[in-house]
Amino acid sequence: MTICMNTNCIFVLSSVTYVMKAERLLASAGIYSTPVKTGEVAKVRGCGYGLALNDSGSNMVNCNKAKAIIERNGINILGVTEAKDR
Amino acid sequence: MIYFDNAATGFPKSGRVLAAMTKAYGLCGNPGRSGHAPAIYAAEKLYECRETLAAFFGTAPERVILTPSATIALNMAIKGFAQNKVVTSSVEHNAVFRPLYSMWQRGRADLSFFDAGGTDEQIVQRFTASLEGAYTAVFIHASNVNGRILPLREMVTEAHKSGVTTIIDASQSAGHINLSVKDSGADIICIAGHKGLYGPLGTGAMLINPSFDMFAETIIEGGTGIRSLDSEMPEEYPEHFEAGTMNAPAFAALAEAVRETEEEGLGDDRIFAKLYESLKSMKNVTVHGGPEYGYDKYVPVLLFNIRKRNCDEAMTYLAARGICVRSGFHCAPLAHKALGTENGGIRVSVGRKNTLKEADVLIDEIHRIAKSVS
Repeated sequence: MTICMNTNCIFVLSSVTYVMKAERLLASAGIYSTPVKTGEVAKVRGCGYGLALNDSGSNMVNCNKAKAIIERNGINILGVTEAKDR
Repeated sequence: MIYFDNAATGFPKSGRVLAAMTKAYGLCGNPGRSGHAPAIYAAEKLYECRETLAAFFGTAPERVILTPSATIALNMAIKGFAQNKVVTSSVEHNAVFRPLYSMWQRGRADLSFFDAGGTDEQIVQRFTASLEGAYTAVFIHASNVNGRILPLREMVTEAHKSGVTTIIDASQSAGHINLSVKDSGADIICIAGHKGLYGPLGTGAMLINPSFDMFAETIIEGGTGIRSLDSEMPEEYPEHFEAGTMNAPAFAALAEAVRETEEEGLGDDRIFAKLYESLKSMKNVTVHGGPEYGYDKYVPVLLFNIRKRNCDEAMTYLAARGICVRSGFHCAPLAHKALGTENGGIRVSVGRKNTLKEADVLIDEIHRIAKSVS
């Protein structure tokens, strides 16, 4: 398993539908996030969407916990990037 | 006005449903096309609809393919998954029959019809007998002509024993009776959003069983907002099937309609029973089919004719008195042939917003027409 090394991670997911699904899964675990369409997401898949952890909850523990929740629910994470332009 | 044409579309739509659509129109951009607030809001509304339908019909949100109608959902399912020998029933609506006929004409499918009349046991027996060598079974859950509900779970079980994929047209049953993709085991169930669920016109869905993993060909390709550099449609559901701008305000309203359906309940048989008992004993009136196997085996749809009266003329007479019913062939020539009503009929379809008082008025007016027959 890849460990998140940044504190403002964005999970790149395969579609906006999965972004919405992951957002709800994380919220139910107390981790709040926002759907984004940033340059980092575009680098990975062309047009696509990502899910950025909100600043208030964004730390390395949450990033790894969020990643585990998303993967446990069968959602494919295409990449994890850092929110540079938020 | 008294409205008994709910099998065509549920009417009236509630204030809640209209308010949800109006609010969404004021806030929605193009869903899944950008990262600004209106685009994200629209994407949220679409996902909310998927979540609501998934919970109501027992599947996963990403397995809810939102479509402009049940007909388009059925075309996607039939042309995407069906091939070789396809088994279908003797009472299909044209939403199933015409796509199958088109595939047959193009040499893409052989069709085998089973008789969907009689008891549940007889239907299952005939269906099972027709499965040999079949690849797909496509059939109606509840007839839009006489309301008969086919024994879905038993038929799906038999189909799966033979390795046959099942595609179900639940346009008439969704919102009237309990229906679950998971519990029925069906591979694909197609629904209309605007009939028994009282959502907006122009809404439907293809509900795919989470355990069904066959790859589908698409019949519509175009922009999806993701993987734009690829020449092919994305493989992920639902975007695999959903090309072009989605009607997010309508689906926001459909989600509200489903929530309202959950709150109000699926309705009861009192009005249906009153109409059936009155019409079947009325002189010069012939009810075709009717709930002869028990009300639990029918959605509230009644087909009848009045002796020596053309069905369109009877409909027009009722319409002039503010009563809405449907006459003709109901886009289901196969069903009319099976019922022996080659000249069509008058269909009364009850919705959960109808009242017993309205049924009394309808019965009185039908009696007036029937009494005038010499």
